[in-house]
Amino acid sequence: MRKLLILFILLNVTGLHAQTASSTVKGRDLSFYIYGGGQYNMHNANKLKNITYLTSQNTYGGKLGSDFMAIMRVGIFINTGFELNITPQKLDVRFSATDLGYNIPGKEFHREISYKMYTLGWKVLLGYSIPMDKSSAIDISTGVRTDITLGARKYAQTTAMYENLTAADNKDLVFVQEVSWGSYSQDKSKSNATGSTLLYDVQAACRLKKLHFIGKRDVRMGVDFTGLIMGNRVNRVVTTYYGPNRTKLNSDYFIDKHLSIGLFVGVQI
Amino acid sequence: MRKTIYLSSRIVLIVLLVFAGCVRHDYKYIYLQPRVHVFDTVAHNEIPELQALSFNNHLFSVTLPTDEYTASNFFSAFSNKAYATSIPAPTYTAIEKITDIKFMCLKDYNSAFPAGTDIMDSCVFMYNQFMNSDEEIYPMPVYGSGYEYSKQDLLDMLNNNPGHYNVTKRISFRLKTRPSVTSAQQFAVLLIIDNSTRITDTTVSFKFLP
Repeated sequence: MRKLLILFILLNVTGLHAQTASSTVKGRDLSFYIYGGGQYNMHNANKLKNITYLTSQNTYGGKLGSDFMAIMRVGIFINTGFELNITPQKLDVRFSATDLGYNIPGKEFHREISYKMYTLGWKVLLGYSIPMDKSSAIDISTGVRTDITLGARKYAQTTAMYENLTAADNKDLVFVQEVSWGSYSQDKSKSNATGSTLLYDVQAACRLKKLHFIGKRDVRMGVDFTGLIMGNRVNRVVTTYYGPNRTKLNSDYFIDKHLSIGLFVGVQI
Repeated sequence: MRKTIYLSSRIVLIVLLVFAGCVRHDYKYIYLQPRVHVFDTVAHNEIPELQALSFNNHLFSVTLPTDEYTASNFFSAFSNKAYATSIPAPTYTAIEKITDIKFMCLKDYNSAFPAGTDIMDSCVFMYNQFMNSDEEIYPMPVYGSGYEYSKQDLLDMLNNNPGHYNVTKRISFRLKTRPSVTSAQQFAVLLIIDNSTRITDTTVSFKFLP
């Protein structure tokens, strides 16, 4: 993760240090922004059939990124850049001993599964800039973002939960939770050397031009909406439940669709 | 324009670094309920309920089915080695350790082993592995001093993790002492996991012929 952060900083600082304001090259208005913001992750939208005891919660996350914008005279622009995302994940598992086939009324189980995902994404958006007046414009764009995960191996875990149900000195296996995000392959028989999560990204931003109080730099603020198109670095949680004498009952699957809505504010550098 | 090219080259570099990585699949597994069978080593079949069996031909076989989970896929981008394009072998590691195996007499066996005692100390063990976990294949034990193990050897082999193949573990064993009664016998195998969990299965009821 540290190497990626260093790379991220190098990319955004050393490569762009000469840029202090927008420049015009052959009719294109080129500018760089750094931005930060928050996002509301709609994990609860990941409703899957046959879910029995596993529920997900919506969470708030953060992001930091850079944008390179090239705006043509006709208003069409391309926006590319990197984005560092921090996405918390929270899930709840609730069930009772009777659900598992034990004749122990009133015995309830609750476990919270929580972890944070760190991703570095590269996005390419194509959009149209609508000038409002001389000092502002609305940028509407859509495109894709591909994420790589940072430090995912630390959060790929399989753990078991035991409870004394049949005897005081005997721990019965209740459930196993399998948490995996990062380069996860849906097909266990195939090793996956690359893997990539491809997200769609729809963005609407207001661009305020040459604000005096920050040294005649542009400021962009807006909202973006992202979701999963395809990928094998999905965020995935599986909980498998066991009855008496380790009879396998069923499994609940949570597979993140990466739906999120975010707000951001960027400053031209 | 130069800056655009400069930026693009950096992007390409990053993509190359990321996509040159490779992944090792690591799996974890838990033990499910064991299944114990009684085989006739001459007839090469599993004996059904209430069948008589010559003592010299008996063999017990305990299969240890497992439930497999993907523990992690180690993504090695940014830490590539010389063999970056090769895919490392997967590993299979048990979440739990089998700390003991007991073979309980459910009926009186002889004066040394009345009902409720563990007769495992009077057994000679053979360890087998087979690939197809769905079929009860005749275990084909290899006899001879070089292929017989103590219980501790067996436990060490079972707990020797990680392995590189997803195989169902199986242990086979025979009783060394003969029964002193002619009535039907039945046994229960007791798998003790991490000193705190017991999972069990029972044999069919059968008779030993002298």
